[in-house]
Order: sequence, then C-alpha cells, then structure tokens
Amino acid sequence: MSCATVRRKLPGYLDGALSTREHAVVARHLPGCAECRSQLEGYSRMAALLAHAEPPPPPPELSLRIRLAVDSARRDSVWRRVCRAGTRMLEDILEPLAVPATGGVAMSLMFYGLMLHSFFVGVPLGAVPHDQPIPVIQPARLETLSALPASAGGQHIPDISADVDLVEFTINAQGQAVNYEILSGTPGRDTLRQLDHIMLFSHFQPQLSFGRPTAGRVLVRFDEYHVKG
Amino acid sequence: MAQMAQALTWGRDEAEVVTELQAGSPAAFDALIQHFHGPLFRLLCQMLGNPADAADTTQEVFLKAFRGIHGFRRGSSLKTWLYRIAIREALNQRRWWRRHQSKETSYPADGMGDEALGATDDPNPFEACATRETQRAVRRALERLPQAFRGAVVLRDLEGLSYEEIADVLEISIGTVKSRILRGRRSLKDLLEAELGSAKAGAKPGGMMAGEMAGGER
Repeated sequence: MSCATVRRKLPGYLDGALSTREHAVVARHLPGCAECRSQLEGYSRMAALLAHAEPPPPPPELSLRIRLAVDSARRDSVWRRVCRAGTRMLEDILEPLAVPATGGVAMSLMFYGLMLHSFFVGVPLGAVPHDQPIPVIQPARLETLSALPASAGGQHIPDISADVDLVEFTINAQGQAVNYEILSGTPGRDTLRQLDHIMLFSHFQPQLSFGRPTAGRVLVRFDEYHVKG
Repeated sequence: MAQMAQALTWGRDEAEVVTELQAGSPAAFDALIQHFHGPLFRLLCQMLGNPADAADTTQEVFLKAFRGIHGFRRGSSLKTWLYRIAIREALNQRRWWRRHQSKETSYPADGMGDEALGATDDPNPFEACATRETQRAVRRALERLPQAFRGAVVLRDLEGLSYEEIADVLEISIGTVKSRILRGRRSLKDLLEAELGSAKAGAKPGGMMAGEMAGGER
C-alpha cells in the first residue's frame, strides 16, 4: 500500500474506524515509514488537544431555568392550546357579525317597545300616577235600555229576568243592534218579544277601533230586582 | 426528585423511564434534565461556539423533548434521541444565524470567556496562557470545519460517542459516519496546524502546544 493511501486511512487507525484488513495493512506499513509515523503522531497530538478543549461547565442556574420552562409548557397543555385556538376561531367568525347583530337587536328592541302598547289592549301601561288609559279599541256598550212593555193586549207580561239571564247583542258600526243571542236562560214567546223590543229601541254605542266605529258585541245581563213600597 | 435522579442510571431500565416520561411524570422529566443538561450544553457549546446560545438551545432541546416524548420510539436510546434533537437545533441555529446576521459580526472572539476556557488556577501563568491559546485555536478550527464533518467529529472526539451512536444521532449509515470522521479529522488537522502556526507567528510567549502539531510532521 502506498504512503498516500495509508495517510488517508491514518485518521481512523487509532480508534478502530478501519476494517480489520485495512488496519493490518497500515500496521505493517508504519514501522518502515518514518513520514507516515510522524503523521500518525500528529493525529495523536490532535486527539490530545481536542481532549483538552473542554467547553465551560453549564451555568448553575441552567437546570432550574429548563425546569421552569418545561413546567410552563406543561401548564400550557394541549387542551388549553386547543381551547385557545377554538376561541380565536370563534372570535374570527363572530367579530364581523358583532356590529350588525348589535344593531339588529337594538332595532328589534326599539320596534317591539313601540309596538308593545298595541299588543296589550286595555292594559294600562302608563308610568304616571292616576293616568287614564286610552285603549286603542273601545268596546261597544249599551247607552240606554228601552222601557220594557209591561203588558200586551191587556195581558200581563212576566218579568224578562225570570226567563233569561244573559243575552249578547250584535251591534253594527251605526250603533244598531242587528241580532241577539241568548247565552243563558229559556225564553218564552213573551220574553222573545220583549228582547225584540229591546233590540229595536235601545241605544248602543258602537265599538271604536283606533277611533273608528266598527261592529261589536254587547253582553246584557238581566237581574230580577224588587222595589219596596 | 433527587432520589429519582439517582435511581435513573440510564442503562438500567430505560423503557421504564420512558414509560414514566410518556405518562407525564414531572419527577422523571426533572431527572432527565438533571442527567442530560450538562452533556447537551457541552455538545451545543462545541457546535455553536457560544455558551449563551448553547444555554438557550439546551432549553429549547428539552422543550422539544417534552413535546415530542410521546413520539419517542420504544427501543431507541434516550441519549441518542436527545443528541439528535440537539444537533438539529444547532444546525438550525447556525442556519438562522447565517441568514440574519451580517458577515461583519462574528461570534465574540472569546465567546467562551477566558475564565471558562482555561484552568485559571494554574500556578504557571505561561502555561495557562498557552492552554487558553490552544483552546481558542481548537475552537476556531472547529468553527471553520465544514458542517457535515463537525457534527461527526464533535460527537466522536469530544463527546466520545460510538460509531453506532453517531450513526443513530445523525441518521446516517456507519460507513458514512466513518467516512465523515476520517475526512473531518484530516480537515481539522490542517485547520489546527494553520491556527497554531499563526498563533506561533504571533510571538506568543511560552507556546507550549503551539507548533507541536506542525513541528512533528514536516
């Protein structure tokens, strides 16, 4: 083996980086070649120098510093990172909608606030003490009941209240009763005649919706009453 | 924790240690830090040439190990796994440094500090001076060694890893490891001769080691 080939192998001769055959060849070559021996000594000295090239010891606080960093990483666990990523994603989605949504909610509240009065007809909502409610719909009512005929053709007509209790009159927009329905009682023929009379001659106030007269209903209850004397 | 550190002799039953680490045992991880932070710091010092960078990178290596412990393959060696992470981090660090630092800026000439480098309590000041000079020369030569060779040479000649371990750390074949070490040592010898030769030419007094290498082979 030539000196050039041996010298290429020398860096590995000392620590067994060569194959057994290569090692044997170099070992046979060295005793007869001062130049290659000198080269090998150079490598030995380099190994000694590297052994002296001790880096500084680690800083005393390094171990503690690493432990603190790892503890911090442990607390910042995967689940927490996933939660944070999820929150961030949700924020990214919701943030552009925040202003329109707030506007929408505000407008809805305002609208329903204004409309609230018409939803609860007749319910006083006034904040002022002794406030008089002005309902949007004023129901129809009976103004004057016609005088009931006491007799017909010389015959006594029994009191209407003996036969019927509750009658519902249908009132048109002109304040005229156009029909009635007996809700409670069993009327006789004379009673029906009396009810027809009432329907024709009584005065009714029509129902007012937003100030305009409309058709409505009036409930009339007949009670028996006695006058002493 | 101290008991745990003592119990972990690495080589005893590493599988048991790995199981504890993968279960998230803080004591096991503390023991791992205690056991390996010194060797990793020294390795990174040799690779990066700067103790401050080496300390930061050591911390980064353990953080990566903590996050990646679940991916650790059973039957592998914790030591080579940590060394592999460290070597990768060192290479990334140097690449980043090359990209972000200007050419004019270099590592501090005495990055490791004179106090740290030599035996400051040496009774002979001339010898201490010569030792420091030699160590600086070694460091400069290592820094100038091509990246591919440096890892292999540092792991073999400074850290004392076996060829098999180096192959595992660098994820290359043993043949490639041997080739890199042979070529790396040849390059390093040339670089050291140049460094020590220039140190000698600088008329440093008491050059105990300067010139030794060059002197013996001409």
